[in-house]
Amino acid sequence: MSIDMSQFYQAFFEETVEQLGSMESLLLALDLDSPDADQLNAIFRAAHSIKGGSGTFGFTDMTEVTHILETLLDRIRKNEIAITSEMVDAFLLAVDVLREILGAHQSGNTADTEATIELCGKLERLALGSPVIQAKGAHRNSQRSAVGAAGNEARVGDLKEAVSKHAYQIKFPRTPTAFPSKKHLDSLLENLNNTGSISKQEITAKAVKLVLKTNASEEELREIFSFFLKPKQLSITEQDTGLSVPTPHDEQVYGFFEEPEQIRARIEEAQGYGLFVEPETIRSAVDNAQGYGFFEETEKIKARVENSQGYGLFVEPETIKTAVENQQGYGFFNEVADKSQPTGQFPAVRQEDNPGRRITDKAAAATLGDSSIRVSVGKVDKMVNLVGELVITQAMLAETISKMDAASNESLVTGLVQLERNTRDLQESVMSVRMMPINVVFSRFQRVVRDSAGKLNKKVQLKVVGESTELDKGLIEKVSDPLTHLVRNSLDHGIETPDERIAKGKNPVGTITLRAAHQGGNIVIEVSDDGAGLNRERIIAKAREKGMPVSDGMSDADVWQIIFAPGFSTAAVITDVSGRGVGMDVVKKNIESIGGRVDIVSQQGSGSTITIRLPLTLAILDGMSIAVGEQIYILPLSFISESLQPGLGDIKDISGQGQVVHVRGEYLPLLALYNVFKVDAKYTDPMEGILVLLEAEGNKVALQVDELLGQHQVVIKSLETNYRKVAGVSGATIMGDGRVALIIDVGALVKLSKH
Amino acid sequence: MAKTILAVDDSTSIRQMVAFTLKSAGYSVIEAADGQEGLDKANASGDAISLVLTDQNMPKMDGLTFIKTLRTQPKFVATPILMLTTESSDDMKAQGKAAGATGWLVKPFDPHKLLEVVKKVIG
Repeated sequence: MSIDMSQFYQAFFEETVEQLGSMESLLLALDLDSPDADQLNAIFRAAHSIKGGSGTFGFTDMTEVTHILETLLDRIRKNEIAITSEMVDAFLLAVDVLREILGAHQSGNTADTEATIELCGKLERLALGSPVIQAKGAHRNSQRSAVGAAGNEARVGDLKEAVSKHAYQIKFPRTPTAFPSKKHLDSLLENLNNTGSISKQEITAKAVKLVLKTNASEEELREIFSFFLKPKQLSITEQDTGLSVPTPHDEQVYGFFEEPEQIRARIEEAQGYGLFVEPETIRSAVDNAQGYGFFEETEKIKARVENSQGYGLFVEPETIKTAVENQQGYGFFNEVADKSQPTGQFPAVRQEDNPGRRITDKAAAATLGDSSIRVSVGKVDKMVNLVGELVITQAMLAETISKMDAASNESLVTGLVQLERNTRDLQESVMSVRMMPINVVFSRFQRVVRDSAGKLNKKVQLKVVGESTELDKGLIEKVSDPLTHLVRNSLDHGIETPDERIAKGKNPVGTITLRAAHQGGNIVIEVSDDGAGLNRERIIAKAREKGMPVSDGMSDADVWQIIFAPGFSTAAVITDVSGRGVGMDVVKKNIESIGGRVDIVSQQGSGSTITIRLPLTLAILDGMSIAVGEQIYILPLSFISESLQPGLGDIKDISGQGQVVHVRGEYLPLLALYNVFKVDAKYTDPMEGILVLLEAEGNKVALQVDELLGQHQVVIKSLETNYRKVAGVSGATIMGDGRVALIIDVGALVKLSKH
Repeated sequence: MAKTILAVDDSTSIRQMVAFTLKSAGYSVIEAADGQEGLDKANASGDAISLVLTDQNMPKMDGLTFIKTLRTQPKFVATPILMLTTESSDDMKAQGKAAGATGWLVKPFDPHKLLEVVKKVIG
């Protein structure tokens, strides 16, 4: 029988991605001063599982890495060595390297062996307790020249060390006959180093002790020494590195503590049958003839007799066992006769119950409990689209029925009400399939914060609130980059250095908080820090420099909006972490492209909070349909604060700046939609039409329309994919009567009102 | 009637491989992802489990504890239990034996080796 192992690869890839993810988050959560035993165990287990899986499925490069990782983790877990932040860094690097290798295997490529070799070297040095040497740097070379191997390419050394099978402890006397000068000793050491790498050395005037990691055999090493020393002067002992992957061929791969026949006999005995002559006996006789069997027939019979009589197991002489093992390459232990044989004490198999059948049912029930299926996103998206069409059809039917006499078509009306309810439920459950917890994105930031804070010499802790908040998978993907940018900004420009923070009387450890929550039909994501806050003066000065229209009397909210301008950056120094050209304008554009908004609240000296508001899903929008002349438009409900009919004298003309409307003490710019889209309106006088008050990006505007038609859930169709991008329009939808209605981009409209 | 084997391993891929191999050879297989689940399923399945295969390093309940616990139950006193283990040191073997394991099989193993060993134990 041949089994195609590749059918299990996908499961292995998926579980390894999960294991690596949990390893990473566990490492990041680890408290180095008092590491939690459970966490260490879990990290170890993850490495162990990956090793087991990769070994089984033949991904040996991963096995090598995880083996060293596992060895090191095992020592840490057993408190043999203390975990250091250096180790955590190396482990995190290992997670990255493993991810890369895994990715390569998944796409059928070969992984970057250089990174693997470098990592293995780093881990090995940590495991051997020697200080970590900057892998390829000058430091390493200088250390090498100290042992007389100057000029050796460090790369080669790394490779040799990473793959070396043996670690020898070598001791020899430094006699004047053998080594007349230091040069002679250096030359020997260089020769040794060429076979591998010397990881430890102790040279005194009289003797030399060193540890050599190499692939060379003891004989080969003795050969090198033969030029200098007599064989008996030299002591070479092999150390167990514990670092090379054990090759199963070298040892027994399985064994039993009891002979299989005995095991079977015992089972049978517990079942209450199976005495003297049995198929097993015959088979094992055949086995024996074929060279398989393990022990003599007489003893087997004896064992059975004994078993059937209900007492003790026999003990096979050690010698026979050893002989058998040696000969066959595997072996069995005899059962220690401390367990009395529980004859007849147990219920025998109740044949009448048909146990097989019962088990299958129960097994099926058990698997049902934890069942989940993986479905491609494409299938789900298709479903979402189909439900979208269904919503449109349902709206169309509702529209038709509304024109009919309800009394004479009662059953039809009732049926359609039912259909509406079913459609809504179906829509909700289909959308929920696409929902994922935002933790998918949030969890990534522990690593971002840790790495970046290290680079910037800052102390930062990340707090995450509401990580189980769910949002659409498509949104999660699109929000990930902007969030990363915001977190990096907070790290780089927000949080001050520990010294600055202490000087300001703050906790030297800065805090960045990620918060997610549902608010009405929106999801709100906040990135806040307790850092320096935005510098009002600097932003205004910079804006002036760039020739932007600013004044000192601007409101804070207006000043903060400046940082969203393209190419705007106040960063004095461009650091490794942020300031690489992707600015807040890109963040804003990305968020707005998915129908969201970005707001900033900042207090100089005490930090900033950036709030992202997103629709729950990209596919459906709560909208208000409005009419202008013959046209129907949709306004996203989330932007509408109220609608009103202006009273006499509320509308005022401002020379050169259009009209404003007076609403409860505030003057709001008045924008007529018929003017914006150049369509014919029923009413051109604002007093006759209706004003819809819209609020976006902290600005308010009154939009003049002919009438409000009603509130709908609309299925968003992209105008860009079906036609082209139109300024002031974010998309389109199909109304119940089959007409296309444009969805208004309120953000763009509000911006329009300002110019 | 097909003999039933309980396979306990926290790695889904290895469990799948083991289950597939055993099923292809005509055994019926109950899978469990850790020692606790193994115990629950062993108990729920009645008394017809012919062989238990268990990993060592697992969350919730490790292999040794699982074997020990299983052995305290009358209906599993005689059931053969094989440890699937990445470590084959004498120390591990002694621990396994003390816990009540019947034998061990070193990971990584291929499907043929697995079947060879299983057949030796339960035919």
